[in-house]
Amino acid sequence: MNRRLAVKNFALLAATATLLPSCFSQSEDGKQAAAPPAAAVTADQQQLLAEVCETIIPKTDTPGAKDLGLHLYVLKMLKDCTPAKEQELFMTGLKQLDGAAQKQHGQAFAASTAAQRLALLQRIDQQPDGFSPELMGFYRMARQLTADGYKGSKYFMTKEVVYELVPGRYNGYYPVSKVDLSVPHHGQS
Amino acid sequence: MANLNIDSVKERTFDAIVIGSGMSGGWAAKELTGKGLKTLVVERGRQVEHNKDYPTTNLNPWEFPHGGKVPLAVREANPIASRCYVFKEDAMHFVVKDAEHPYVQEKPFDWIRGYQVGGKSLLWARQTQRWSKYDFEGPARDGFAVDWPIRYDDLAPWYSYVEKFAGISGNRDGLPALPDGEFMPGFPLNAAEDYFRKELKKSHPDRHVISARCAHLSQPQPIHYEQGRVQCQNRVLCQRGCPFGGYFSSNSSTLPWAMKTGHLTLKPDLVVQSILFDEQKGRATGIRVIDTHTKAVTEYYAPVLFVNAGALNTNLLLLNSTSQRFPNGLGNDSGVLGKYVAFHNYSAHISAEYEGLKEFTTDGRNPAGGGYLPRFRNVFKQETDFLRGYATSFGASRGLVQPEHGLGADFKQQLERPALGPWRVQSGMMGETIPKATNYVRLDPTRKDEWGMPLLSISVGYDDNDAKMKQDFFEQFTDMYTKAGFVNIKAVDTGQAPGLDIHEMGGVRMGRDPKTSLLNQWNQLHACPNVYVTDGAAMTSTSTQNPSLTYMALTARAVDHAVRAAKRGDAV
Repeated sequence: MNRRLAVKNFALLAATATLLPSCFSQSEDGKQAAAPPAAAVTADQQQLLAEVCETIIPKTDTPGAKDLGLHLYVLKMLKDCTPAKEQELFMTGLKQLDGAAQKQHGQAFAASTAAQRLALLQRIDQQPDGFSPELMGFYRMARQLTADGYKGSKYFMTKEVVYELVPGRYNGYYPVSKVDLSVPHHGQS
Repeated sequence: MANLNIDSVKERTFDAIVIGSGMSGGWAAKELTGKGLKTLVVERGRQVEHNKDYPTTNLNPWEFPHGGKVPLAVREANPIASRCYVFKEDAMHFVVKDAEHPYVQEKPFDWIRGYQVGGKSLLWARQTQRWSKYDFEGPARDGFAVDWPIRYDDLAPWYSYVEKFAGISGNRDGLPALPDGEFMPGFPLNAAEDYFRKELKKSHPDRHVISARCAHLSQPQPIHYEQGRVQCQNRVLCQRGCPFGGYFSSNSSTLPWAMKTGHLTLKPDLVVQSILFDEQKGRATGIRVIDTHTKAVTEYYAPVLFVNAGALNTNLLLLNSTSQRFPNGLGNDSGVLGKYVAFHNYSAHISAEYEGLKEFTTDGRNPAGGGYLPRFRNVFKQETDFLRGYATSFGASRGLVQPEHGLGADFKQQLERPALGPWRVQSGMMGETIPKATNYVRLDPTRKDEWGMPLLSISVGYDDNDAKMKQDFFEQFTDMYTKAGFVNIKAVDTGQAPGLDIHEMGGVRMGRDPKTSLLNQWNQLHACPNVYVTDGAAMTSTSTQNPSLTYMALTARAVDHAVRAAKRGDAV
């Protein structure tokens, strides 16, 4: 009975390192609705997380994490869909971030330049050995959830890799040569 | 009941009563009303009207509160339902929650239910294959269960009858193990599925990959437009209910059709507590129902009853319908009621990658899901150390690659312009299991539900034959995959409990001998012939094919028999 879904899930699994949930909710303008943050998150931590998310998905010629409110998505996913243990790991890691930034660049993460923030997170991404398991865990979850939030956003699903509610067609021999990645829609479902 | 006057009894008397509005109950309703019988359909769940009651059907992914994901608290409160593949944010309102309708697991069994008008026909995977002569002859040839009292030829015209109305897409493949039917064009295999089909022709000429046959309107006919259904639009969001009526469900097809006749009375929110048996007349006379909201008890009467409560609930109802004549459950002279329950073994799948055919991908979505391999083991004669065999789903797709590392502008660009991954293929086993007396359901002796119904106690497990068959599946598919040049082959034993296949069958099996079966060749209780059972409970064996189409055909055939018998004045 579950053949189609199994195949689809399988494809998803294959495409992502970890299959994290893609919870999402947005207001009409495509921004995240203001989700109540996880109980223990302070305004400062929320701000810090917003900078982390923006570093992962920065504003380019397309909207960035702040434009889309992706840090609220991350917090909502944590609160509603993530086991308590992983939530704790995330929060512990988040609290260690400023310490790591101090060590690296002599100032807190939020006070660092965009380039310094990117450099720090890139080090965590590429050379995790020098960092605590909590900071690593925080980064991996934040990265995955931010990416999920971006890919699941109304902006992304209407302007980048377009989601079709009613495809009305199926072609099992679609030439890859016709898949045009220079335009937003490539028809992959 | 003494204060009820004759008018009230008259108002509660029908020509026929159907218990359940799902896959087979919907068909019973359509056929009975179509033959002019004033028919009452009772459904224990709430009303779900086509389109009107599909709250999520047109939502985009970003419009769900949790993007489709079930919140952790809901998952933790519903470990059983959460294991079902449709229990996601878009359709979890159509799946019974664990705490609402408890049951007893003597052995692990995931009982997935859909208590609403339309039942699980809203949620099904829509795979529709006829059973073959080899399926109906199976028990007699291989010496298990009891002989089916019917053969393929008895059912063939009824398959045709229901296929035309429901709308089945598929190709005429000409395979003995999988008879062709009345088809609209099949949904084509994709490049990698087709490649495997061709490779298999070379390596194993007796094994076939065909387009999965499914209840989707690929090319609707006038009869479908008349139902208000149009061509499938490849949304593949079927579990939400389809605004196009692109797939068959009771809600989109049989029930509205029955309603149009003016002969249907549909009453949701009524649990049938028991079937009434008149000791003097020696026949069933009606049903006793409990309003699920008010708990009020009422009786309804009819000269003929169709039990379509869903396989295990049909067992529960008959076991709970006791009388002086039938102290162990209605029609249960043989003592086999509730026994010989079987299912399909879905606990194995095997995946791989294919590095070729990178010049192709897919565009749009395939509602059929991909390909299907009919059973190739032990079809014409016994040839392995296990009985029977398995059919297999086969699907291929190319996913989008998300890099495991990296962040910032480059990473974002990679998400916006993702690369296509290799073809990934997956096969799922659908194994026939052998009905046994030791796989049974019974009434819990003490515990009752909110409506006073005894809890159903389920004792159904795998056996040695299932284990051997699974091993063979892994071996055969590893061999077939390897010969096709697939790489990175991964066999997965899911370890899932029976039940999650949602193909539970039996307990009220058909048979030739009243001493060893409950139902005759027309699906009438041997001992109480005005009661027909035409859902999964009736199945003598399970075949490897998906069962719904067979329930539909059996139901239409049984209604035809009931109405003819009534006209002849037979004692039904």
